[in-house]
Amino acid sequence: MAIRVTLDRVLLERRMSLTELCDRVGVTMANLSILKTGKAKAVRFSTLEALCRELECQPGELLQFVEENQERDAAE
Amino acid sequence: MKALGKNSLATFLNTILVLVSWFLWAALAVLFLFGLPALVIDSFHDLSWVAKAPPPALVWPFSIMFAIFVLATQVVISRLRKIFATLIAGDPFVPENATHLRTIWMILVGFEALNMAFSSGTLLAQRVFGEMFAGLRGEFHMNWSLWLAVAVLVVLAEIFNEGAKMRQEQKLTI
Repeated sequence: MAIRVTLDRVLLERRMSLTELCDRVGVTMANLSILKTGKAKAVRFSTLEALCRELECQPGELLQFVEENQERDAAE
Repeated sequence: MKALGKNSLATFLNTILVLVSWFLWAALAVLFLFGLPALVIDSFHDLSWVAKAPPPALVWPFSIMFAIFVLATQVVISRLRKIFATLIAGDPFVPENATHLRTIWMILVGFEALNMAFSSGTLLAQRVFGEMFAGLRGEFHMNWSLWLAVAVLVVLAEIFNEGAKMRQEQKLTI
């Protein structure tokens, strides 16, 4: 997908575990894993808002636009 | 009566389908176990005890048509039961239901095409061979209600397909 979720990087920078984030945001571990692994099709504004609030970051820090061919090259 | 879940309309219709399925298997078994062997034995050639019995020359084609009808109906019933199972479970928007509906309308189209071909063939045979096929209903007609049902099923299949896609997207919306 052209939009990459950089949640793992932000979590690492904040030294926060995914479990802790789940508790704080109120999203299930399964759903956050879907988001973290890039399998999500869409993100609700309410979820994004909660993530930004708990991680003290901007939406742009969590999402990154990647060119399709760039993504393919990275995968290879 | 509720439409989804246990003890719903879907459960009731599912039970009716099971009964229809058993009845059709029984009818097919009776035909092949008793009806057709009777033809083989000379002394039973007289089929006048059967109401509107077809001419002996057409018994085999009729039997084959009936067997095809039973098998096609069994497939349709089996697919319908799978759809009802999802309705009973309360989750009908699964991709498999679109496939089941597509299969059902394709079977209906196939069977109706075969039926039309058979009717036309009978009509032709009546014209060519005359009395041998007298008494048979050899007429070509369009079953409009069936074609309407096919159209509804085509639309329903596509609705289920799109519904399943939307549901999948909804599932992956965090």
